[in-house]
Amino acid sequence: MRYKKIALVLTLMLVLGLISVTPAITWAAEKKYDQKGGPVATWDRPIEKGFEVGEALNPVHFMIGIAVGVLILHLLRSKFPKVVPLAAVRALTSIGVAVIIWELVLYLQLVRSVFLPPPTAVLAKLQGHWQKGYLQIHIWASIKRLFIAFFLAIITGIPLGFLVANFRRFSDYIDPILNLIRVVPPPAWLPFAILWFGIGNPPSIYIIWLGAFFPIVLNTIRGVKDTQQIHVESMLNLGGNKMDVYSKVMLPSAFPTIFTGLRIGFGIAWICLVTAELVAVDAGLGWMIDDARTLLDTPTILGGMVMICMFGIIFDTIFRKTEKEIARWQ
Amino acid sequence: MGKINERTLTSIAKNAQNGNHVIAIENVSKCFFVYTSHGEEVITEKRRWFSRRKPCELVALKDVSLNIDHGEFVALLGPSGCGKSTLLRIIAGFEFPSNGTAKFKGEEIKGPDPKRAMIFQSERAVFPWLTVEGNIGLGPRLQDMSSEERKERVAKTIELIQLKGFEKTYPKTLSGGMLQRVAVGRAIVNHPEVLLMDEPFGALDAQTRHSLQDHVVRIWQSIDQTIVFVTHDIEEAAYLANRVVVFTQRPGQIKEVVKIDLPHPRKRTNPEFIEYRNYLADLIKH
Repeated sequence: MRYKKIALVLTLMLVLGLISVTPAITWAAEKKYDQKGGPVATWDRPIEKGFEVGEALNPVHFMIGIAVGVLILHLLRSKFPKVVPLAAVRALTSIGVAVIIWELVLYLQLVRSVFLPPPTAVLAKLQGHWQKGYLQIHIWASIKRLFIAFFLAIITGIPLGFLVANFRRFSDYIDPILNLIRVVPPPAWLPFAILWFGIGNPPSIYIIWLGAFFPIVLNTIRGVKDTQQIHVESMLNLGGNKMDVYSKVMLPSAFPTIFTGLRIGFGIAWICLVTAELVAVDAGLGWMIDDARTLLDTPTILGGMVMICMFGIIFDTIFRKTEKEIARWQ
Repeated sequence: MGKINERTLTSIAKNAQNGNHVIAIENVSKCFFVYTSHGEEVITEKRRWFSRRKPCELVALKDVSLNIDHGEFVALLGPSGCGKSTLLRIIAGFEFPSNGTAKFKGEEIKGPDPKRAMIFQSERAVFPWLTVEGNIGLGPRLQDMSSEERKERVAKTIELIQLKGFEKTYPKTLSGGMLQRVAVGRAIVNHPEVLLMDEPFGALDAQTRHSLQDHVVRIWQSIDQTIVFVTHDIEEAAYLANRVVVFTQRPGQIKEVVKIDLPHPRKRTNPEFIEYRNYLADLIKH
């Protein structure tokens, strides 16, 4: 049962990876070419109205709306204490109050909006980008890259971790090299990555893979090495062979640790993603931020950050739910 | 001294015919190579550089010979660290003797075998990622048993260890005594010829221990089985075994083999039982 679930997750990752490689489904903007054959701008930059603030939402309405929302939440909590969790109410209250203060500071013009655009402007900007299809392109480009790299990190990291944890000689030879490479921050590889893999997706995938790979390997090693001797002996005593020990004892026993490695790896991959996208690619949330930087389009910069934050939380939640579902024995 | 157990008599008769012991241990010695700061026999050439700890050889067992017949309930009794667990691990196939031979049904023991099922000291030997059913069904599954037969066997075993209604429970929510019963079930589901128990009830409270001891006796009586039981508890040995093998302090040697001719179920208040117990206690002391 449980192995089927693990297989399901891996297949899902594989399918996602394959989908993102298939060019037919890639809806990143098609390249336009001028008469000479060279590419022109991949898409139209939304530079018009770049600095306008609060074009969609009235700041006062916005603040009142959020305040009312928070109050309604508290009201719901007091009416149905069993349905609405307290922690969620508190979390949303704290975020709501922070957003109101943020908006208020700009509404009272205590800070200039170029230095910190108000939430209303960021939302308006995001909405505009979304309508033009500009935002989707970048989100999809980033997620695609992330999934390919993360999938590669899983299929290389977990088997390597198993080998290192189980074979003394192998680990003696491999460990020093791993430790040498590990201490170099992945973005430092950028120049070489571009030299080796050229312009486009591969160098950034390499950087992201590097970021995700080491937490996964190290956690797999730790988890497999922490397998209790008594479990291994039990398996042998029940008539299992070495393969049974690997697949039916070490894998489930190390699973929680490996999964922690996946989560940490995903977090680092996410960091590396934005860094890697600053160079050598022409789409992605990191690129969007960098491009907006050149135009001093601060709402777009903040909008990009908000998207990164949102997707980070979404993926982390998915990870935690999956772990809970698979490791039901804990 | 009391009645001789009928089962023991029949099994002795059975074995007299083919002249074969289930387990035959001849002059087994076992040395461990350890680094300690207080070793006796120092091997100078193996000394590590820059290490203050001396390599030394620790003799756990010295010239132990023991034959165990079919249907016997043998207890290995001795002070802690006397090598009784090592002997059990040799029988199970986890360790190999440094000297001498250990044979199972006339063949030398080369590794772990489901026919010699081991029940470990700690209840943590139960796999936490499998349900009670999954833990017990694992052995039959590894032996490619058909699913109907497996289900039937698992159900029977769960009934025998009295854990009905807990089939789908994960070990995390079970108590120590229940876990140890799962471990017993996991071992007996394979119909092993020998059941090896390494102080299985040492970590439990007295009440649970007594009820599990009765469990073991019931299982031993219901399935025709040989049991080797390691313990440091004198009363436990006297209560359960037909034959108690008393070990000396390290290096472990057999001091005396005491036959206990009391029928099961035994009573702890029985004067004969108390006599046996005191005799064993005296043996351990000197």
